[in-house]
Amino acid sequence: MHASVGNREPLWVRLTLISLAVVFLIVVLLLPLAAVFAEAFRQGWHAYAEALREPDAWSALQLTLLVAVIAVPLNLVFGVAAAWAVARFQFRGKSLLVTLIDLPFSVSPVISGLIYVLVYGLHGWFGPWLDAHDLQIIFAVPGIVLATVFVTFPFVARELIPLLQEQGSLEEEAALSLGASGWTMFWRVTIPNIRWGLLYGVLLCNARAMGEFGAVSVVSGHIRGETNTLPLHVEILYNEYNFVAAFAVASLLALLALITLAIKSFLEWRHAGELAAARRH
Amino acid sequence: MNLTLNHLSKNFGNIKAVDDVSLSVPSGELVALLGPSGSGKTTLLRIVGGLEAADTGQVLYAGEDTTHWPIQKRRAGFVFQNYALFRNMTVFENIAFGMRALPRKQRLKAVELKRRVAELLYLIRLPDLAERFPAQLSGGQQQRVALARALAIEPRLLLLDEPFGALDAQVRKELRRWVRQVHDQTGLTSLFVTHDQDEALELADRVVVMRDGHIEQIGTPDEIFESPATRFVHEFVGESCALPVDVRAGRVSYAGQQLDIEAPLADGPAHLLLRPQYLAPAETGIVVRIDAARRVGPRRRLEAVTGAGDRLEFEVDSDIDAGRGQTLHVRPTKWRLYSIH
Repeated sequence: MHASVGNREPLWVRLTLISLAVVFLIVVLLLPLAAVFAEAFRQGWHAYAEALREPDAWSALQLTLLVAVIAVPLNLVFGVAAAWAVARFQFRGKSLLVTLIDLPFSVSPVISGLIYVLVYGLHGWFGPWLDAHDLQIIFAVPGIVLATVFVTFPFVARELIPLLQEQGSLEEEAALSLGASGWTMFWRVTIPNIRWGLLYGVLLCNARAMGEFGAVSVVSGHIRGETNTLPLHVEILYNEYNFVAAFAVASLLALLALITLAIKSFLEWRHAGELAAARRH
Repeated sequence: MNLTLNHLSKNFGNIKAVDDVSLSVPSGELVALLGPSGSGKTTLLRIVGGLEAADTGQVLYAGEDTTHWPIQKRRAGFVFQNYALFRNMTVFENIAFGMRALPRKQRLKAVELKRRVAELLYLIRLPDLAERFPAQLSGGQQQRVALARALAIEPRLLLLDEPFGALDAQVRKELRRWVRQVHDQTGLTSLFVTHDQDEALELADRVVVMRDGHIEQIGTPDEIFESPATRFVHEFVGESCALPVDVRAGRVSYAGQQLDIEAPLADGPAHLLLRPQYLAPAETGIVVRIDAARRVGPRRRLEAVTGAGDRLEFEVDSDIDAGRGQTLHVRPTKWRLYSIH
């Protein structure tokens, strides 16, 4: 280690700042995480396994994964398209589009759910028509998917817009001038240059898609074994004072988040050289 | 391949980036587009390469109208400012990119492709760096890879945007000579954009001086330097001093003193443009007082003020002892007159 400017601060300043950060991390992050697992295993491994083997928990897990599997690829495509449009083209209403992309972040998730009820619900704009054609969106899986797509839309786009803007379009223009089609340019030049941002955006999007509570809660209808996702199931169990089961399911969610983080860290470690090269450029 | 531009114009909002530009470049010529920033030279180059669409006008490649051709069909080898190498590809992959992007039928076999890239690496004198990534190369090396990448598609013409802009002086000089060599070897019609007049004059067969989107003058480096068509060209290319003068019946006078200069201009006020290299001390002429003297290489550079307060610079042999405060006469050996409208 060579001394950087920061290392020349007096010892007590360094120690104070470091301990502050450590205490904060412990209180805000580590303790709650540990509490989740501690509570889940309070009555032993057997009770934990039992809570997860319960059919409603199992179906909630399946629904959560299904929603993520639909919502994340959709937002991957939408996000790349939106980021591309914003970063590469000048058009009327561009700032409006950027604002719209941020909208899901700025409105409360409850409202995100309510708008779908108002539009697709039985008494909503399209409600009677949907009912006449025997299509159910609200209080069914399509509604949950829609609400999740809405809430998680910004993650990929927000990650990519600054990246694309910073990189500029010169490499893309070079590819075109060398005879590449737009398709070849996109897959061989654009995507490789943004793949890390893209991956990061997808992981965040996925984490949120699996963990979303508010919006999904409004459109789900909480039908056990049918329209309950993991976060909703946790709430139901908790409200029924079934703490072990609640925390067991919660630990599953936490585990999904930890796996996401682990994948990201692994990829960063595995491709450290390339990452550094990309940053040096 | 000869290149013809007919009345090209391009606006960005209210700004006329390119304003009615016509130009004809015979096959194999190396042409410099020279001008200050904002003169439209890069936009013009991008229109020729198909990266930008002109609002009006035509671009002809070998007489064929390519104005509405897609960029891929033009086969213009473009070398970008800051090179725009593909950062995720090795030098080899960068150079091979254009050949691999060809339609399947025209694509080379792997062995031939390898041989062709090796040839190009040899041409750019980097035979051992095929597996490096762009970030691992120096600026000059990146520049050469960018050129090889453009040459790999066997382009119909070569377009270079500020090709030496980001390099330090020594590398710049070497690369200039080398680019000239490559141009002569390949015989490609080439256009390059620069704001550096030395670069334009040294490298190009012909120089196009641009200002505010239009062409001020087209000429050989000699013509541009010795006979600038406008005061702007005179001052942009080489060093200049300007004196306000009066023209009466073909004679020129400065501050009431008649100069030994003939003027083929109409009567009225005019500017007399002088270069430091073409001003010399004499028995008679404009009286100046020396303000500062500097040694410049083997010569002495004098800064002087006339009686009317105009500044002049000129050079004398270093053995002439000229110091601050001294007065002497100077006469131009060459000059240009531009009337004021």
